[in-house]
Formats: sequence, structure tokens, C-alpha cells
Amino acid sequence: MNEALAKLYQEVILTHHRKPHHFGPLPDATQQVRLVNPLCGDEVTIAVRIDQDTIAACHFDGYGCALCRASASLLTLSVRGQSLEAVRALGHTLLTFLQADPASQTPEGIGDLIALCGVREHPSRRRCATLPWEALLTIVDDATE
Amino acid sequence: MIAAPLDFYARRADFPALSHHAAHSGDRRPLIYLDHAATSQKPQVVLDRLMSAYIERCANVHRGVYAQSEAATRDFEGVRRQIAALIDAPDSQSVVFTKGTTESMNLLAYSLGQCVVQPGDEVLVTQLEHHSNFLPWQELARSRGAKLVVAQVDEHGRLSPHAIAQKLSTKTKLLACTHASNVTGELIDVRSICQLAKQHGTITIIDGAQATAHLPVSVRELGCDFYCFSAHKMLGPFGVGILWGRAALLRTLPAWQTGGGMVLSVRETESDHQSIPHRFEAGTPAVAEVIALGAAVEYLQGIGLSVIAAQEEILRTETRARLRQVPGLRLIGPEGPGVPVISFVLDGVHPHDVATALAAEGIAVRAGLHCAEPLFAAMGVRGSVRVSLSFVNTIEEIETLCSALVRIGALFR
Repeated sequence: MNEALAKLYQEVILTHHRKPHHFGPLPDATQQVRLVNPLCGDEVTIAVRIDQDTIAACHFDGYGCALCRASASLLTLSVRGQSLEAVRALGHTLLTFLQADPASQTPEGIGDLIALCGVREHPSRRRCATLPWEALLTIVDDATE
Repeated sequence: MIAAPLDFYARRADFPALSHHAAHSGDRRPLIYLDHAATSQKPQVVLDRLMSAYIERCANVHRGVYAQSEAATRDFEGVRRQIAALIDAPDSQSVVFTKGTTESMNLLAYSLGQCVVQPGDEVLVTQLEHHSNFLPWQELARSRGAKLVVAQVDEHGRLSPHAIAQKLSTKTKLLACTHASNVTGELIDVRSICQLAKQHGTITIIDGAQATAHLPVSVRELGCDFYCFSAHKMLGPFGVGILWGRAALLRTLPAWQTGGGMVLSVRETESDHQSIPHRFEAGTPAVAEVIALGAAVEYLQGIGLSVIAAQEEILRTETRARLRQVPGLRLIGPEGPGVPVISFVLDGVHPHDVATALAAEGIAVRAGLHCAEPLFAAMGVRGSVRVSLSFVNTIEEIETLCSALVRIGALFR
């Protein structure tokens, strides 16, 4: 595997792809959003249980590539127990980072999500990683309107 | 393996892009291009003709009286005759230049559709179609209050004349069907389908985008009313498409776009339109690109489309056989005659991950739904990796592809 590919499919990504966290429906979800990537037909549903402006639980479901599955799996881990405001800030920071020039600085506070950085060098695959976050931000925006 | 009819290795040198290094791989390996169904690579003779058209005869056609314009007009109209000969059309006035197959289809849906489709009529398409031969008809049916009827493929994606026959009736005003699938490569028995359609008085429109680079086409033998294809998929430049129609029918159709070049006279309240083909060519056409298409046609005919078809059939058969040896790989689509387009899924690996991993090794393929969502829905498949070949591909390239696929399968599972 060459360098660019190794950066895109880091072991963290492959591990989450093979065994994603919180994959499947969330029975007591209070909100959920399904988004489709028209390029590849992938679909992801992000479901959350919001309790007093905090994300008490988060699951994802759908069909997607390794990058999309890993991104969604990482998302479910990083937003659980967080306030809606904190999640919104994290989501925007991550989306800005993933859409930035590959040479740009890594922002603080994104933790394991740094593993998604490889998509910055693959513009045609960026949406795979951002799709779950776009769905989550839609939920957060709706919940705080 | 059967001996190839020609030394096609020698032909690779005609295509400058094939000796370029793969952009993503970061190494010195040349590009392995297996995405000819999306667009073909262009031989040097086409690039030369394009350049010379821009240098020596960069003038508008059918307008100027100076040498460059007259030369451009002569060459432009010469290509019209070349195209007519290529598809065995009875005359060249029934060859219309468009932007591409998509525009050809939209022209027909608008111009022909408004003439012949009335509320309550039916427009027949198939599940096999590329969106560009599906959406214009869906939109036509919606706007005319007609019914879009979709002929079904079987679970392998096979489209039989029987499936068409089941849906044809006296209400069926139009039938739009592909000559070859852009997903599975399946070659459709267009001749039988057109005979069936004729029995019901149905006008036939054939999408030849995936056929004209790969096999000899005779619109006379096929018996269709319209045949559409794109220059860029048959070694020619981007931005040029062809619409061929039976002259008697084409003459009855109104213009779909108006503007310069398509009128005889213009008065303040009305105007008189040109006859075919110019009535359908409003505005300045892609003059140099059409002229360069002439070089592509000469190149294809220089080798011979029957020879190309024979060579590509060997490649297609070998590729399918070798892909089958890759662990966890499943070919999508029916067995049988086809153009060299092959779809597959790799167990446990998403098609886009396969394509990205192949790109890192300098191998260009396509992944996803290939603008053919109804077909994937019918086959119950979420997407595929597509390898589309041309006579310039080699068995060595296929071996490289297959060994990469074995490694990719192991990486993701």
C-alpha cells in the first residue's frame, strides 16, 4: 500500500469499518436524519436521543464505504454525552478541516477524528467522510432552532 | 487464449495519454486506463487534427466567404458524410451534430415527443438505460400526460426482446432502448426489438453511446428510426454528439432550439426554418471538434471495426475469466454477447474503496451506480466496480488489476 492510500485508510479507519460502533437503529431516538450521496448512492442515517440539550445516545445505520462507516462510527463515540453546542462546534471544526488544503494545520480538540484527514488529498472522497457529520449538524440545527 | 487478430501493442503508441504516469500513484508506472466507457483516450491523429483545425481553419462554418471559413465548412460537412458512412446511413443530411448523446436524446424528447406523444399515450424505456436515455422520456411522459412504461430485465440484468414485446401496444408511441449497457456491457438484440416495435407503429430511438467504438453499426440493418452517440467515447473530442434519424421522419420534426444558422429568413413576427440537418443545429457548432472527429472515424476504420470487435472480444473473455479467479469477486450481469464493459462487486469491500485503492496503483476504473440507478434497483445490487476496455488494453494490465484486487480484498476484510 502506498503512502497516500495508507494515509486514507489508516488502521483506525479500517478497524471502525470492520467493526463499527453503535451501528443499527436507535430504538428510543428522539431525532434522526437520513442523507444520500448521489455520487455513489450511499446513505447514512444518524439517530440521536437528546436529553436536556445533550446527546444521550447516538447510532448510525445505512450503507456506505469504509470511510463513511468509519466516520459515522467515530462520530457516535465523539458526540455521546456532549452538549448540542459542543457538538455543533466540533462538527463545524471537523468539516472545515476536512475541506481545507492538505497542508493546513490540524485544529485542536478533534481527537481520534484526525484519522479522517486522508480525504483532504482525495477530493472525490471527501463527502464520504463528511456525510454523517452533515446529517448530525442538521439534527443539531433543528433541535436548537 | 486465441491469437489476437493484430498486434495491438503497437497501437498503444498512438495514444499519448497511455504513456503518461498515473497521477495518484506517485511512482513511474504508466496509467492503466480501464474506464473507456466513461470516455475513450484520444489518438495523436485526433489531437493533431484538432490543433490544425484551430490553427489553419479557425472560422465559423456556413457563413464566411474567405478561405478559412470555406475550408472549415468543407471539412465539417465532410465529417457528416463520414459519420453517415460509419453507421451505414442512406444519406448524410439525416446526421445532426449535437453536444453529445444526452443532448441528442433531449432534442428528440422535445421535438419528436411534442409531435407524437399525446395524453394517454405510452413511452417505453427499459431498466437497462443510462439516465440520459431515461430521464428525458420520464420528463416527456410527465409533461405530456403520457405514461412511462419500463421494460423489465431479469435478475442478471438481461433484457430480452420478449420483455419489450410484453410492454408494446398500439398506445406505445416511442421506444427508447440502449444498444449496449454501460454497466454490464450486454449487447441488445436491437434488430429484433425494432421489428417488434414496427408491428405496433412505435418509433424507435437507440442509444449507441457504448456501441460505436466497439463494433460495426448499420442503422439500415438495425431498422431503427433514430440512433444517437457521442464522439468522445469513440476516440473523438469532447463536446460533440450525433443524432441520426430516418430522413422522412426527421424532416417532419420542428426545431428545438432557435438562433443563428437554423433559419432561412427572419421577419419581425415569424421566420422560416432551414431544412434538415441545419434546422437542428442552432448557433455555432463545435467546428474544430467535429473536424477532429473525422480523424477518429478514419482511425477506427483504418483498423476496421470488425477487427476491433474481434480483439476486444478476446480481451473481454480473458478479463472475465481472470476476474472470476479473484477471491470474493462476483461478476454482475448476464453471460452472452457484449461490448468490453464488465461490472463486479468484491465481497466485503465497497466499490468506491476498491476504485480508490486501484487508483493508488495507477489503475483507473469507475465505481458506483454508473448513471443507471433503475438497473441496480432491478438487480438488487448497491453499486459496482466497472472495468471498461478498449483494444489498446493488454492482458498484462488485466493481470496487474487482478493481483491488486486480491490484495485489496485482503486489506479491507
